[in-house]
Amino acid sequence: MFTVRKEQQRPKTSLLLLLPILLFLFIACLPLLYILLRAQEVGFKNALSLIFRDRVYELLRHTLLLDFTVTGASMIIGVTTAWCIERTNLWGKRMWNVLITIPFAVPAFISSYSWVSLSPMFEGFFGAFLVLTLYSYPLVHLPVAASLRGMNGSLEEVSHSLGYGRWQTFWRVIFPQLRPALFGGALLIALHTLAEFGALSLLRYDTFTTAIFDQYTMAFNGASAAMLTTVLLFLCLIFISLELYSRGKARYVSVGSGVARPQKPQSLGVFTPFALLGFALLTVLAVGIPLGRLVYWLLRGSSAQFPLTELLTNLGTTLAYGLGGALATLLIALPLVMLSIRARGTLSLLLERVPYFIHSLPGLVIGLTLVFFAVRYVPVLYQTSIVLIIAYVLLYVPLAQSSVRASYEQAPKRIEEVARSLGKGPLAVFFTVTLPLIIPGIGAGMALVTLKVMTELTATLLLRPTGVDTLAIQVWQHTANSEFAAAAPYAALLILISSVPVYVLTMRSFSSKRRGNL
Amino acid sequence: MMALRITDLCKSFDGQTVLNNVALELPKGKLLAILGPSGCGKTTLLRSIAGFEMPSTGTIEIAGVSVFSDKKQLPAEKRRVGYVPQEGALFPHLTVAQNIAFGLSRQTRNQRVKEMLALVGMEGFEKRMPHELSGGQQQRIALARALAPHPELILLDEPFSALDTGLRAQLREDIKYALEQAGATAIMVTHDQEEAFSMADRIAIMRDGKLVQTADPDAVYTTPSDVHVATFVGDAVILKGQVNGNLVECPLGSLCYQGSSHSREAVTVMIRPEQVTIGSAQSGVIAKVTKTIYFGHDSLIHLELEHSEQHCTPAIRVLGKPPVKKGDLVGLQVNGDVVIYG
Repeated sequence: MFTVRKEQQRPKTSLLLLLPILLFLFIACLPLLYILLRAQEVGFKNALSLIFRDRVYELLRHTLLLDFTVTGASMIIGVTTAWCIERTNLWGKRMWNVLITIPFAVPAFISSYSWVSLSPMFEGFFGAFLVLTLYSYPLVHLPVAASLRGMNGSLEEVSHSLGYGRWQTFWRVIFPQLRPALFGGALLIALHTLAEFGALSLLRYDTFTTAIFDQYTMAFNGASAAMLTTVLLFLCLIFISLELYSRGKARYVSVGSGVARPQKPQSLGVFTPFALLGFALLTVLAVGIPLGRLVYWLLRGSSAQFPLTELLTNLGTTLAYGLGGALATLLIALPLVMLSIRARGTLSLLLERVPYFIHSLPGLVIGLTLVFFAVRYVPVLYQTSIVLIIAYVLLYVPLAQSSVRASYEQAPKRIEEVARSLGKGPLAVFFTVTLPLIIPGIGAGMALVTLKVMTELTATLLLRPTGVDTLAIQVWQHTANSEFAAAAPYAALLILISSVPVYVLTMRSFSSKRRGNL
Repeated sequence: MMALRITDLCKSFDGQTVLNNVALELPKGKLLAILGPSGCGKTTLLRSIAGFEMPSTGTIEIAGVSVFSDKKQLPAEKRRVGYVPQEGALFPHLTVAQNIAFGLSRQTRNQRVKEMLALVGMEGFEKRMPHELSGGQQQRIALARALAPHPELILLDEPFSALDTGLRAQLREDIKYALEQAGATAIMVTHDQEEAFSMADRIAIMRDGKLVQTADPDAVYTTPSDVHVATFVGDAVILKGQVNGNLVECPLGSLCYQGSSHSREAVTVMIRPEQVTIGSAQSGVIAKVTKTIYFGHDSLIHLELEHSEQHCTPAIRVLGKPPVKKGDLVGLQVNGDVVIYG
């Protein structure tokens, strides 16, 4: 008699949740559809001949060479700096920590502008390697440092007591625990390098991304661009599966958090001068030169006329896109998180994974896709801000998702149930209990996405309405024409307003530390 | 009128029966403990009453109002049920006072918050945030929050499981006091026998989704409905025996029993260890001491019956240090009626 099973009644709000999600999933399918449609138009034979040719092999060599060297070098730098700062008695650790994470806030196309304006010898592989490595290593440094901080020191003591020295302990005990953080950061770098357009275009180093852009904008060869995109997507897929593989392995690595005891910092001994020299050099290269050059051009440029009205217009545009993009992104991310946490099983997994896959697509691919569909099917939308906002949503939903998710998990279902049993309906519970609890996550997501949108270059270049310029676009255009002094005020202003969300984000991490483990 | 009436409640989940024909009645003002091992379905039953889970069939009535039946499923917010989950689940963004006031209307708010804080002995904590409270204090506030809107029924889901043993005893007493003062009807789910016996007016034993016995604590302990219940709620000596008129014959002698008799029938005999007294080997059933364990306030004496074809190794608790040592022969005597199962 108890085989009769009533379906769990779903709250009516779920339709409200489902609508934005379905919309998002539909748009998320477009990049794949774009490639298929293009391939079909070109024809299978032609498509193959467009993919398997010398130019593609050369691009592949270029792309992989840069990707592996940048990722490798960033891993070495990031782990070394993290270890020195977290585990040794290095002089001035706090100062170094701030200094060497600054590059994180300076977009790669701005630092490449600084280097190129220094000397044309930085064009080509060496410059690209240098600029991207100096831009990327914080992506390893930050998670690895956090992981070192949270690591249980008694494991190391056990290792020492079992007769292993410092070096062996690092490789056998510390390093395996760092792997999830290290590989997570490395994957991000690999994907970013794959997708990097602005910096590489300025440094005149060809990868798939720059080649696709050239094919599209200069040769107006949509078919060739689409086929190159296929190869690029294939590379993305390889990197993502590598990450999934390392994650599956990583699970047993991070067993039990334990109570982290304060660590006794290790003495660097005779290596102290080398370490200090290394940090000084890194600071000069990663911070000093990019910002120093900027100031230099700013001072030189100010003798010329200062384009105040244009600066203000562009600032307004940048802020409008930044905030608008962030708002739209959150409107999609919030239902995604709610449904993926409350629902279980495949649906939840799908909702969680799809955005991350989209996120690993280069902005260029998303730009091309949206141009293609807008021109073909909804010409009304072509070159409107709506399409650009859609691109930002696709690009940055996962960033908003992970911020919102982190705080949503602090609002356990039980708390909502208690609120229900105290006589509040589902909507009232959402507004009085759930929303206040996830406000910090929403704020962090807003800040992060705003920052990203304001410094986004590739999709913006392709999709912006004619005549509309953001600060990032002005920097790129002036630099591409070697008008270094003219680019400076835009770059400086962009860095200045980007520091606002960066400040908000660091404030948040400080305040959450103070509130303890709530 | 009953505060709660449940009939034929069933729920299956992924083809597994979680609730199996549960029936329950609870008079107003009583505290019922649902006692069972983990995974027996007791939390599901509680959540079904609260309205967080949907049973398959059956009916639930709270204070005469049907909240669940074939025709009607009242949502949680309309059931007038207070819920205290494990670890309190206070709203972390609200102060203590705001937490308690959450379910109250604007007019009665201030007055009632004061009353509730006094009831749980937490006056002066109005402005504190939940993370500034200890685990026990959080549970008190969670109870105050649940009691504040005068619910018909309070549900407590393992309310002490997250607390240290030392804290538990005091908090148990305080919560029982608060519930009594408020005249509340309450159901508490627990897997801890001591907790159930020390707090509840009635105990319902749950096993595999079924309520196997619902009775007063004393009745559950002295006349458990079957052997499993007997051993679940306390230590028991279980023996085979045979009914002979008014007595049952077993290795511990011919003993008086409770309940109806079936002459010459083979039965299982349940004796509580505290019914057994240890004396000299001159009288009673002879047993050998196999082990003694000293706990300070009492000791446990493991025995093995001599001259018995049944392998029987009862363990008897005595106050203070053990009066005998390993290898001694003693005589055992059983006091009071024993319980038999057919």
